Order: sequence, then structure tokens, then C-alpha cells
Amino acid sequence: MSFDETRLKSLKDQVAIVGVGASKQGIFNDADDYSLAIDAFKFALDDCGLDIDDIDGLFVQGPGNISFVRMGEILGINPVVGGNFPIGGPATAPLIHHAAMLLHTGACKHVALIYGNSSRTEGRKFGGMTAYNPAQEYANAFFYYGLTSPGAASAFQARIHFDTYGTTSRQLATVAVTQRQHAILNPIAIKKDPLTIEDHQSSRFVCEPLHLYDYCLINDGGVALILTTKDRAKDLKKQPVYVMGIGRQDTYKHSSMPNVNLWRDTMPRCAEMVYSMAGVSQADIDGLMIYDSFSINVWIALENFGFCKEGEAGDFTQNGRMQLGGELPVNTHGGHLSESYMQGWLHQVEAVRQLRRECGPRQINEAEIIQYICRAHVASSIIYRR
Amino acid sequence: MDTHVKPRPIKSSSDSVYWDYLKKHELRLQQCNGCQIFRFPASPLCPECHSKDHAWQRVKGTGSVFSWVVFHKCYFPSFAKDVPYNVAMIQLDEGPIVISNIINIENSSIKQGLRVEVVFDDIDETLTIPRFTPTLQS
Repeated sequence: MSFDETRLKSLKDQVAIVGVGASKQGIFNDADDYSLAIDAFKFALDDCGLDIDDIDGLFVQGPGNISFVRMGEILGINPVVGGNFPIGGPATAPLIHHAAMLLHTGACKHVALIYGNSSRTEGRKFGGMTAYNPAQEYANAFFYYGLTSPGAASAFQARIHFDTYGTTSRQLATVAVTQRQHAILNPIAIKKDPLTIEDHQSSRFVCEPLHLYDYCLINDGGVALILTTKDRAKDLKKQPVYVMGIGRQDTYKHSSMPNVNLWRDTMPRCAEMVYSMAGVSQADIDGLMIYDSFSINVWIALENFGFCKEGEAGDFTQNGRMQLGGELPVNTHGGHLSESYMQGWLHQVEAVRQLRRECGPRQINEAEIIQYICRAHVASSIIYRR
Repeated sequence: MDTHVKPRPIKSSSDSVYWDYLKKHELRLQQCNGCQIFRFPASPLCPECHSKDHAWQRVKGTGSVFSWVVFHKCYFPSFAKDVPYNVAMIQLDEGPIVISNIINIENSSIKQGLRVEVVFDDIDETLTIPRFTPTLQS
């Protein structure tokens, strides 16, 4: 075991998300990263009843060039601590982890995590020269072969899964179809037209074997979370949602290439950490929020976190298991595939709203424990409880 | 940058030797003199034993397709005439996995395990890119 379980458990249930906010989600030519992020932040402040001057930790994230210093300047605040993590979409849970440690160790009292994304309006493709980043090894190492985009890395992994286990694109379509059914029940979801397995199978390939509907949306929006300590959380407007467990496991070896082992040698250690800290197991999870930049992420997360065995996700996800009312509801908001591509941030909002029982027609019955999982070379997970 | 020119490799101090050998139509990878492990992409030291001592070992240039994808979306305007084009992960017989394109084959005929061998694509006077073609087997 690579972690000290006793010390990890000292953070269990000590920090809570007390405020969540989401801006409008869609395509907004009149907005930018900052304005969308700030809209969300104002909603989050109102959600918990805190004042902006209560915020003493300010972390800012997004796929563009959003700056925490500029954000603080716009907001007119001087927090104790600010920053961002330049690791792209997988930064969501790592930033919550960081906020939890700052709060638990007393450096901060109320931390805001603010996310702004105007990728659609800015024309960001997550591939090609717009993805060129000299600081990121994989992003441009093999451009001359025409290899670009995170979607291609996932396409390689989908092919490996299909070839190794005999799984199929048709089975994978269930992820997109199920999440679309959930999005239809979500007022802020962007994609609400019904989607069938046949629609998925007949849609164009983007990077084969992945079809259009295996891919996340690219859109604009903002999200904000406000966290504080357990004791402070009790005095705020809404029911706190506590962080029971946090897991993290990185994979740097061979990271210039798509991961051919589907992260099987590393992601299970993230699972071990999060379940050890939380003191619960897979059987206790009432709903899963899985980072779904591509549908295959869901299979990889389910297998590497022990919800099913290696190679079995294709069968495991059939027959309504992931649907609301099923055994293990997954991405009840519609996820990146159908709700909005906010790089994991709206997954946290959904976890909080499910545990507060605010989700109306898409409410998971008696939701007590919700888990977030993100696969990647930076793998992470959070287990929340009400 | 003119986006209609295909992107070129960004050569580093670690891999300039790799590209120099390719100009001579030789595929050579770093092999650690400490633990004999091959590594790709090129790096200043062995990730297994941290020895800097290595040889640029000529590899046979034969291997098998490990996984492959086909780009239907055109992310680079310079690839507009190429879509749909394949990109493959090829496991060389010496062990390391490299990225390349498989040429002289229909995309629909590529299979996991397909035997391939290197061919050298001379782009211009300063750049040769290794690609792979199906091995003709008797």
C-alpha cells in the first residue's frame, strides 16, 4: 500500500461542498471564460449564503488561458491562496483534493473552485494545431503522423478493448444512449433529442472505431464549487455534502503514447485509496459520476474500480444497469456526452444535487453515497455522502 | 505557421540522433547499456535503471500492429487529402511500441497482429519519416 491509511482517514468527512453553481450551458458568442465562470460563482455563493469576502482560497480552471490572478482582480479579492493545475480535464478532483487539504490544515476557511470554458465560441477542437502545447509531451509528439486529440488515444484504447475481449461498438453505444435518456430529464442539458443504438451505429466516425456519439460535446459554460470545513458547513444554507474519500494515482511511464494497458496497473491503486479512506466499498455506491470525455472512459472506470471484472464492462453495462432506477445509475445528468462538456465540474454539481435530493425526475432514490471517477494519466476519484 | 504544410517533428537534443539515422534509412532506437532495455521516444536516461549510457541500436524494423485508429475528422488542413487515414501503434520485434502509419493497405484490412516492416519516407533533404508496410510472407 502506497499510502498511510490512518492519516488519510483523518481527512474523511472533515470537508464539505456547501455551494454549487452552474452558468447557462451552450454556445454564447457574447461571453468568455471569465464571465461564464463568474456567473457560476455568483450562483454558488448564493447557494451557500457566503459573501465574496469570505473566500480565502481561489482556484481557477478551464481549457483556455483563464488566470486565477486575473480572476481575483476582476472579483476584487486578495485570497490567502490561489492557483490552477495545468493538467487539463483531469484536474477536477485533484483541485478538490488540494482544497480539502488547505481547509483541513487550516490555511483557508472557504475555498472557491471556479471553472470557465468558452471552447465552442473560441473554436477549440482539442486536436490539431489548436492543441499544440510545447509543454505537453503527448499533445504534439506525433503530429507528423496525423496523430492528435485525446479522442484518438481513447480510440486506440477502445480498439484494444474490442480486440482483447471481443466487446463491440454496439455494446459501447449503450453508454451514449443511457446518458442521453438522463439528459432528457435535466433542464440544463444541451442534447435532449432521443438517441438510439442505431443512431449511434450509423453516426459518422470521428476517430474510428469511435463514432460521433462516443465523443463529448464541445460547448461554453461555467461551473463553481465552494468548500469549507465540517464545522463551518453546518451553519450554511443548504445541507452539506461531505468528502468521505479521495483517491489519486498518476501514470507517467510511457505517457507519450496512448496507454495500452488501459491503466490497469495504476488506476486500481486510486480505487484502493478512495475506498480505504471512505471506509466503503463498491456495493455502497448509489450512483456513479464518471468522467466521460469519450464513452470508453466509462468502461475503463468500471473495470479498474472493480465494479466488474476486466473485459466485462461491455456485458455489465447492458440491460439498464446504468439507467436511473437500475442497479448502478451512471452520469444521471447526461455527462459530457449529452449534458455539457465542463470537464468533470458538472459531475461534482450533480453528485451534490443528488445527495441533497434536488434532482426531481432524475433523482436517484434515497441517494446516500455518490462516487466520482476520472480515468487518465492523472486518475482520481472522490466519494461523497450527505 | 502555414497550416497547409504538414507538421514536422520537433527534434530535441535527445532524439536528433534518431532523425539523423533515419536520413540514412536506418531505424535505430536507444538501448540502455545498463539493463539492455530499448526505449522510445528517446530520453536522456533509462527510466528503468537511470543509466545514461546507451547505444543507438539498429532494430530489424519488423513488428506487429498492436492497435490502430482511422482518422475521419480532419484536424490538420494539411491532411485534408489523406482522410480517412490510419495511425497505428506497432510493437517492434525488439519490444518497444512506436507510432506510425501503415501504407500500401486498405484501412479496413488492418488487423491486430498484422506483420509489418519499416519503409523510409523521404519528405525532403532534412527529414525522413519511418512508416510501415505489410510484410510479404511466403
